[in-house]
Amino acid sequence: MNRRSHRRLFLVFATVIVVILATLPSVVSTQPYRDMLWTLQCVRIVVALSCGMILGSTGAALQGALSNPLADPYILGVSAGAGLGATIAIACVSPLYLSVGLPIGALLGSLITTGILAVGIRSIGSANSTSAILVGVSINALFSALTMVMMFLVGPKISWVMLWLMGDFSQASVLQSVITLASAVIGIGLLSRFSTHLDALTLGDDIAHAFGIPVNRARLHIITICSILAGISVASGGMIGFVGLITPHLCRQLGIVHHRHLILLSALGSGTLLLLCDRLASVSIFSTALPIGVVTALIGAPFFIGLLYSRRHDSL
Amino acid sequence: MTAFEFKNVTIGYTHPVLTNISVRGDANSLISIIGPNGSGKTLFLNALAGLITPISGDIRRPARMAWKSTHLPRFCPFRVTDIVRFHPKAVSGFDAACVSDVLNTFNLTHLSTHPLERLSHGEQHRVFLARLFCANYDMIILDEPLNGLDPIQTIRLNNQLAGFCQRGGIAVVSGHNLDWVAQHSTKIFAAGNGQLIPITNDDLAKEYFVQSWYDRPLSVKTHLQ
Repeated sequence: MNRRSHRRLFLVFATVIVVILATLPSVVSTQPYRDMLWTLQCVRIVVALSCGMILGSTGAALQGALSNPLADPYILGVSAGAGLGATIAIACVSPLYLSVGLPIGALLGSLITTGILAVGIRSIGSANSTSAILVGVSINALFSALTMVMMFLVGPKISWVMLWLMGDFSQASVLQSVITLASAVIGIGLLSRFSTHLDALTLGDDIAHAFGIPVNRARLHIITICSILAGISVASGGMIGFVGLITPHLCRQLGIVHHRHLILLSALGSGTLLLLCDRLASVSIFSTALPIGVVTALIGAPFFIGLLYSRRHDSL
Repeated sequence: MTAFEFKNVTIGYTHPVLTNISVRGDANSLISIIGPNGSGKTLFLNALAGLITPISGDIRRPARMAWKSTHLPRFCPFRVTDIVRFHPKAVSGFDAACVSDVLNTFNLTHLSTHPLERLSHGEQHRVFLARLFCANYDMIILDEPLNGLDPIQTIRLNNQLAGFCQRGGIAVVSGHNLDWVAQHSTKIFAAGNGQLIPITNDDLAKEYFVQSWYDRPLSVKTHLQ
């Protein structure tokens, strides 16, 4: 895909985002408490867009860094850590302070997980892709089990935690939306600086080494950046699966393979997808809005399987 | 001119496999490493490329070098042409005509816009071989490069290697085809029993020598028939 096509795709994503934003006044203008609703809707849109951008860019970066098409921000156990942090916050913090305590708990959980991940990879002595994924999967299993233990201890609050963990943008505050957007922009900028590293790591450690790239250190840096970003995303919007996995693959199917373009376009694609899913979730036919993670999986999984089936003669 | 030098080097992953080796390689030469499976050939190449740190000793190597391993990437969405042109800035001095020639030599021209993943195993190996000859490297390291190549492609690789060495490069190759090693190498190193020692074509022609290395008598054709 040439530069003109990249620009065209960029314009498509930008247009969809602008159209969604343009429909916003009509949604809220006819209702009472207009200003308050306007702020709430804006916060929700900014958080959805930012979380999508984080998930898309980190998905693309991790698939490249680990040279594994199944990698996504959650495979490293960061989401499980954030979930455990959130569950502990719900169990320990008074309901009055939960709107602050919950994102802080989730963020602390993800940061502690990132630390454990980094120490785990270092203590194995190698940051090769298989050992990084195995450490991540082990952390995921351990923290998921601990979350279940906490849920049994918490008791009646269990359904609320479950709903939040499956993705919810309605709890985010203005400050949180600003922090998430700033993190998304900084994160994409940081990951884009690693684009040549990611291209080389995808081709193999030996080629990356010939480029003068300190392979293990570069991989650890990329994993750390992605883990922190994923933690911020979970703290703002809960655990939203599938977006970070499929958008980079969709971009690659369109011919965008170099990480210089892939990270940005995957971020914009994920942001657009999550905005659309959020709109869809908020006009749900059910009595209450569906968790966003449920909508992304309901739409994403069949679409992705369909895409794989249509291109079954090619490998992904 | 010395291109690489090992001085009293001991290497291994967890414990020493090759101990106290002192070897050197000169420019304009094709150096082959032979030895049974597990004797430390790839380990030596890894140390030469700087992918592993030696347990002890000094290694001197050229800065501009490339390495072709036996492994292929498990996940690679890049096109063939992207891969053969992907080099560090310091060595990417070759023009489009040269890249086109190399692609043609390895019979990859018709596949140049295909993603690597859609190619066969042998074709993928050819892409990574072709890549080595599309830039200005001082040293190229090839681990068992004949794997998956048909006879015609093997001859084409021989020609490319000969051209590379004539231009002042040094090619370090590991392999099990002793006929090929005897016929094309400037220098041969044999790995085994914790050692890496220089041997000659005459050594390879002696059945008792090869038997002592491989535990079996093998007849080696040291010249093309």
